Amino acid sequence: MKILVVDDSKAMRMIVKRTLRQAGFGDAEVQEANNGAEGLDAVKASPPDIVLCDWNMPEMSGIEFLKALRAEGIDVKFGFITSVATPEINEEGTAAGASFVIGKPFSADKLKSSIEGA
Amino acid sequence: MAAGEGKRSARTWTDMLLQATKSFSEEMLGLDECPIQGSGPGPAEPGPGAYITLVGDTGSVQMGIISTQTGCKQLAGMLLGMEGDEIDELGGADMVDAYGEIINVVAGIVKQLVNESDPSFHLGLPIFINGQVCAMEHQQSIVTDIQIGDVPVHLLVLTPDAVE
Repeated sequence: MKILVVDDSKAMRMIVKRTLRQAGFGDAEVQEANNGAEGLDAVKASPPDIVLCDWNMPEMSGIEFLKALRAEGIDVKFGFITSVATPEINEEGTAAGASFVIGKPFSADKLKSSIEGA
Repeated sequence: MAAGEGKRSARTWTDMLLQATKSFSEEMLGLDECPIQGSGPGPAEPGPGAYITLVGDTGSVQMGIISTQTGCKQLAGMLLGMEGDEIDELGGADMVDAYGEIINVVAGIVKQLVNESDPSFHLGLPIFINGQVCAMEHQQSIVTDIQIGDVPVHLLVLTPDAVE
C-alpha cells in the first residue's frame, strides 16, 4: 500500500507515520508532502492508494488540494486529518470527495478504521 | 446580534483552553493530570512559547502555551514519542515545529468546544515567539500556570473584549 501524508508540520507528519505503524500499516510505503501544491505534484508523479491530508496549510490548503485533484479527474482516495474537524468541515470535505475527516488528536484505531472504510 | 451578545470573557476562554490542554495531554502525551499551580492577569514570564489566534463573528482570542527552552523541548519531544537523549538532540527547527503543533491541536479542541454556539470561528497558523506577549489597552489577559507532566507551562489567553 502506498500512502501520501500531506501536512505543513514535519512533526505532525512524523506523528501520522508513527500512528500508521501502530495501526498496522507498517509495511506501507509512505510519501510526504509539505502542502497541497507539493501534494498535487506527488500524486501526479506517483499516484498513492490514499492521501492523508491536513486541512489548514499555507500555499495550498487541504480542501484546495482535494478540489484540484478532482478538477483534474484524479479520483485517488482522500482523507483529512485536521485540528478543525467540525461538522461544517466534515460536510465540506466529504462534499468535495473526501472519504473521511479525522480530528486531532486521533487514535491508531480511528485511523485504521477510517483508511479501511475509505 | 446585539453588541456583546455571544461574546466570551477571558475567563471563559481560559476554562476552554485548560480543558483542551488536559484533553491534548491525555490523548497525545498519555498524561492523566495537568494540575493548576496558579492564575492571574498576566503577562506571563518572558520565555519561548507558541501562539495561535481564533477569530469569529462573536469575538476573537489569542492563546499561547509558554514554557522554558528546556520545557518546550521536553514537550515537543514527548509529542514526537522521543525519550532521554533523543529529546536532548532535538534540533531548534524541529522543536519549534512540534511545539507549534501542540498549540494547533489544543486550539482545534477549543474551536470544537465553541463551534456549536458559533461555527464562524477560524483558526490561524501557529507562531513561535521567544519573549513576552503583553495585553494592550482594551485587551484582557489571563495567565494560568499548570504542569504538563514534569514541565511547568503558562497558558495565556488574550482577548480584546473585557466581557464578564
